Amino acid sequence: MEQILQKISEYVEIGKAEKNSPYPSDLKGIDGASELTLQALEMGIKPNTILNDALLIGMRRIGEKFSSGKAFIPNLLISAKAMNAALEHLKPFFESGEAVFKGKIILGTVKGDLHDIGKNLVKMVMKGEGWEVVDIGVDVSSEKFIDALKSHPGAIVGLSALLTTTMMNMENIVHSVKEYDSSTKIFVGGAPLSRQFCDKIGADGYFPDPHSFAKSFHAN
Amino acid sequence: MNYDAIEISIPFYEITPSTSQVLQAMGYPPESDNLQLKDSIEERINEAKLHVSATAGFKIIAPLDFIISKNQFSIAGVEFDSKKIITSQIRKADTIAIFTASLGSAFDQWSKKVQSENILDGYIIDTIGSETVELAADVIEEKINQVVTGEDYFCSSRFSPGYCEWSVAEQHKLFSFLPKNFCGISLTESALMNPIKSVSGIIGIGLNVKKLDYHCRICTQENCYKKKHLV
Ligand code: B12
Repeated sequence: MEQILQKISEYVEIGKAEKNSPYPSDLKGIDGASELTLQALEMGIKPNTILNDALLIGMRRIGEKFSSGKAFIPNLLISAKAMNAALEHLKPFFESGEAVFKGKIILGTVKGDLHDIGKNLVKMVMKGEGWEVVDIGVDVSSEKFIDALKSHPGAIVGLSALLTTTMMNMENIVHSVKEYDSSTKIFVGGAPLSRQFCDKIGADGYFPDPHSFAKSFHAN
Repeated sequence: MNYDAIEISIPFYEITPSTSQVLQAMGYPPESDNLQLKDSIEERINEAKLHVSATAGFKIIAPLDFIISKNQFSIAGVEFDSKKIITSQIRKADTIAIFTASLGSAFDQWSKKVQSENILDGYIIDTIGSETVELAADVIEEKINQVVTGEDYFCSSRFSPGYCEWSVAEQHKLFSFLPKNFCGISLTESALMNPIKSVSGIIGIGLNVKKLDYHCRICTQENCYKKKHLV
């Protein structure tokens, strides 16, 4: 059991999603994270064990490389893709409650802003970290964030913006969401953002990249 | 000098970014040899030519309409709070050219579509777009240089709203001097240019203007990436 879990984590780290994934080329034709996850389930390994002791370990390892400048956003995405391929097999267990998401996050680019790549990268990495992500798009108003919270009570909220002008619209959204439910945690990110700005508008945290964001929720 | 707004379309082959340029824009060191990414980038650069419809343009302001002081400049009485870093660099300008460049809306649509299907390729395409539109801005800067030097004038470096402490919000005033929908660009209320892959800016023009280094060290825009690259 140890061995298969270790292999899965290794394949998530290097981004070997499936048997027919073309990269890394030397592993072409060999079972990837997806097939091995199925095999692990067949061996009777618990879905939560596969999630926590294999998939998330792989994501964490690539995350550490990212933090130390040895890996870059595409590496995180390649790993998250392998992770998601494996997660497909765990889906039924999430539905039945046998496996649990790390949490739920509502993500949107704020009103006035149409840039979605930053938000989409956060979405992919958070999914890969075992989060359930509700993507509500770009140019999102306070009302839309609140509507999403009504449908997904207890979720945390992530706001993205790329320009200083649109970043100003975050303040209003933070206030409205906190007014609706003061216990909702709101996180902000995007190129012109800073911790100072986050504190000034009363948001709960600023992260420069999706990895540091995901890491802030790790238990240790 | 011609003071009409001039718009040109730029063929993709003139502004095709290189694979290593795209890799570096994603943060990879120049010597990096990530085959998976290199192949995907090359493939997407090849496809990009079908989706890029680059236009760039400029308008030189009549010198009579242009006034510059220590921290600001004005065009036909409209004041721009461009802050001292930029004004110090164009202090000797007799006038400025306003320029824009854009890849067109088809590129944004393609990028969005791919992002929803495959985020890695979406990110690659987004980065290709950012690099390509900067190259389009290089072309138009060069064009302005040619026009100006032909008249025995000189050009400054280019400066964009949102850099060097000059507020992005001032784009509204800047665009008011360009024809409507110039280069296919429209501004939203929050001064965002639509299409996304667009850039704007100014270039100082004058008999005694020089290209100087950017003054990042004295700029207070702490989160600017140009400044971060200094350290
Ligand atoms: C590439 C780039 C462009 C590209 C387009 C960007 C794009 N993706 O479409 C081009 C060349 C077209 C461009 C144009 C302009 N740009 Co520009 N651009 C950049 C640059 C160099 C990188 C931005 C980028 O794409 N990064 C990659 C993406 C994936 O990163 P991201 O969106 O920031 O998201 C990451 C993180 O921020 C984080 N994140 C994002 N959202 C969230 C949310 C949460 C909750 C969390 C936790 C994390 C998180 O995770 C993501 C992955 O790491 C930045 C400087 C920089 N290094 O950041 C300036 C920058 C964004 N641009 C800036 C400016 C000013 C402009 C222009 C207004 C300049 C001009 N006058 O022409 C125009 C505006 C364009 C428009 N449509 O209106 C400013 C914005 C600040 C400001 N003053 O408003 C910046 C910050 C540069 C600066 N001065 O420091 N730009």
